[in-house]
Amino acid sequence: MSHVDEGALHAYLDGALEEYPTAEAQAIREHLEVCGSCRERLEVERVVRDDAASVLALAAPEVTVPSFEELRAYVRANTPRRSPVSVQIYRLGWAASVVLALGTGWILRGEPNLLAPSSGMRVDEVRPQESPASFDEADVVEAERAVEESPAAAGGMMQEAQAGAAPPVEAARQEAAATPVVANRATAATMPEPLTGARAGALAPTSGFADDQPVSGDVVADLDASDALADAARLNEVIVSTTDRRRVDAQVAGAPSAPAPEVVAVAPGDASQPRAAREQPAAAGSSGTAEPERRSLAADVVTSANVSSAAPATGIATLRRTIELGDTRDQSVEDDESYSLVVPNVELLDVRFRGLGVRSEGQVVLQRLESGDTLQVIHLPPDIDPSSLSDPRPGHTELVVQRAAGWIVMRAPVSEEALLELLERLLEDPTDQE
Amino acid sequence: MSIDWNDLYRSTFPDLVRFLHRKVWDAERARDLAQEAFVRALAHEPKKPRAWLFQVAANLAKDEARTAIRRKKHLVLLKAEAEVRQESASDPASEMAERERWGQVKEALDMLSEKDREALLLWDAGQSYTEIARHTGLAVGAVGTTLARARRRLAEAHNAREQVDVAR
Repeated sequence: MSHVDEGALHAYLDGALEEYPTAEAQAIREHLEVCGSCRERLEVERVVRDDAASVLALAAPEVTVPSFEELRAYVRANTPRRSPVSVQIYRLGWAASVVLALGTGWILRGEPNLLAPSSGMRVDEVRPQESPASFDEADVVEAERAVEESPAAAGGMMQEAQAGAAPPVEAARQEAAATPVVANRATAATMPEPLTGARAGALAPTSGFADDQPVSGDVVADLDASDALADAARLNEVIVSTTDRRRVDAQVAGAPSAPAPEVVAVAPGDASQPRAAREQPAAAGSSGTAEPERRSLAADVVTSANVSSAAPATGIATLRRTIELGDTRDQSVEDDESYSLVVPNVELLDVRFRGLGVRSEGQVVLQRLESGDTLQVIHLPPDIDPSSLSDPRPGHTELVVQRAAGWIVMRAPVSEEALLELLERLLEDPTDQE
Repeated sequence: MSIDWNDLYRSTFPDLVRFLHRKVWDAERARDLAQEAFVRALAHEPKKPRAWLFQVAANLAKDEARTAIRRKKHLVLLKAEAEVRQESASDPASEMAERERWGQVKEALDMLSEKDREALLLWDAGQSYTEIARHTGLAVGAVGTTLARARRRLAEAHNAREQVDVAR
């Protein structure tokens, strides 16, 4: 056999000759036993190999292996599981939506006035938002500022949603034509005292703007549905309002498969009932007679809070924690995992939907704490990465909570303990608050 | 054959982080990407999980470099890990020295061809010749030659860099 090449020498040093064909490996070993020249080259290559390993070792990070159980739980919580039946229903629903949209278009062709709301506004003013694809801190800040600067509009643009599957915008438009579109511009002045608690969400959405402003803005909707078809049928009210004619601050949006948290205080969606009558039971709040039945979540609340990253050493006192609420393996995406959008008994400032087109990207809830600081509660569907959010402001604590129905991100300039307490109140079974 | 994912995770995670670290040069990001690779593996349950993990990790690192999207971690990590990170971050001098070391290694690795570098990093992360061959498209018999060349160039480049630093 001729001399061994350097590749084979490295394979020998790496113990990789076993991966060579047996005869070839055997020949190399035998040659190295008898060839002094090749043995010398082998020692040279050994030094090269060790030198390279030393260089690479200089850039070896310290690795701590995170818990496998937590990783497994994360995967279980984030892997959508659908039974064959539900897949079929989902597909049928999708197909039916398309047929419904086409059929409505056919019926309405040539009769554009059918879509004109009774208030005289054009329906095309309820248009998809020209918004960024994801949440941006600037939007939240802007929302906070708007609320702070305009106390009269503190309750403005309140939106209540229930169930995760909002209808496509087209369906919303159709529904807008079928149900009264309320341009409730006067109610801002008659806004009751600051709203507190989850029940506040049931009060009439209002907005503070002048009569002469053209409507181009927010779609504020009561939704009470659990799938796309049901949403389209039950969308019982679309309220058009605006504070900025250039952009829409919220819209009816939602991926049919992305369940979102419920709002505690949404009145049962019965479009045939007058709005005032529908508001009454929920506005009464404590009576609880209109409360839909909900499953208790008390056992899930912060049972295993894990620090995912601590305050950076730069001195910026921002604390970020990610919390896993136990093993969610039994909570399928179809589960009725109910919790409030708002922290009960904390003044509600604003609720906003975010998203592009028919794709829901969650809601932002702003609430005023007793200290006067603003609490942000951001609800994200499971397919929206909370890391797409911008950093919390310096001095703010952040909690990221993973639920089967999505993510809850809470931010406020308070201690971690205080934020955890608010989280517990948020996740508390609403029926226990009575 | 059923896979013991727990065992695979414990044995492979550090290798995967090391492999990714030499690509993204950010220890925390490397951990995140390694976790993400495992999340995908657990969801897909590939037949050859170790090779699959490194392939996915390489792709993730490539995407990372391509898009350079800033992302924040959201996976749940152990408290201990956060504490370790805090401790290491609390010493700016050692952190700076560490970054300088990493910079030297990165420069040396950048002197290699992409294929040589990939083979070397895979080997250093514990991949076998067969796995490296599958990952890089080389013949098994050519992996040794590739590694020999990569090791020599890496050592030479690093020595040259050190000599420059000493001369200063």
